Amino acid sequence: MSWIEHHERSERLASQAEVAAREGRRDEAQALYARAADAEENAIADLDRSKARTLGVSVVSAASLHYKANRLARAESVAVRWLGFEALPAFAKDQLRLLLQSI
Amino acid sequence: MPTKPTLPIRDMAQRHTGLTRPLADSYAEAAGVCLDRHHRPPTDFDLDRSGMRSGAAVAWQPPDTRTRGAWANETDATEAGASACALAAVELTDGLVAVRRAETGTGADDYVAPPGASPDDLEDCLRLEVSGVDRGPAPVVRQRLDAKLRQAAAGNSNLPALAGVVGFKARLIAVAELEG
Repeated sequence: MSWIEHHERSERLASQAEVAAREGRRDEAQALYARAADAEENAIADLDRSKARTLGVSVVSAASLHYKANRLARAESVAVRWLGFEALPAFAKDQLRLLLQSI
Repeated sequence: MPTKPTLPIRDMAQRHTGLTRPLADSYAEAAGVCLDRHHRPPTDFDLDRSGMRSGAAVAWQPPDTRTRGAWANETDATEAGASACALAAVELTDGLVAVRRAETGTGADDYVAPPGASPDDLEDCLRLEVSGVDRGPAPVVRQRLDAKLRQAAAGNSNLPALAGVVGFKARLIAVAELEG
């Protein structure tokens, strides 16, 4: 699968998770967020690292989705790992720092 | 005196690869219905791009009874008409075109990019959040823009974003960037 296919799958799962969360199905929402996070990490794995803007979107999404899935250690791990990647755009680094403050 | 540009709401599918022809035609038709509620063609609109003011002439075909009936749901018509006008405004002010529809929950309606950008990644894309105001005056349009920028900031997607609000009676299209 390509980056875009993994990313679209992640977006769909995240949307389903939001619906579940709004309807009070907390456990289901967290499970869907976890699957969305995994899909986004697969997207990152398949992405050419020179596509910095796309990488920034994916990395912040993956970290945020782990956070929403209550996988705090995974969220922190993703954020810390990618903050060290020099080519990551500023908008993504700013959002990762904000996320780390929330963990 | 320079000629005022025309807001390019016609034949959008030829330039906006994220729109199919039926969808683009539907947007343009809805825009005509929304404009017809308050104006007669052609009508001059003000464009506000992050405080930079310009103008554009909007030409449209007055809808017939059947078309008005098909778009009798005011909310649907305003939403679709606003999509036509906001995408056309961003095309005019920033040279960007729709490349794909955003997933629900991303806090955005479309991804826009320069013509020819790759559809397989987001390297050249911005999110565009669109909203329409039917009767409200210019302050309501600007207030809605602020709300849309907050909505874009709260979305699942963290891609840098634009928000565009179309005031049909106010004859104003306001576009601004979400500050990162």
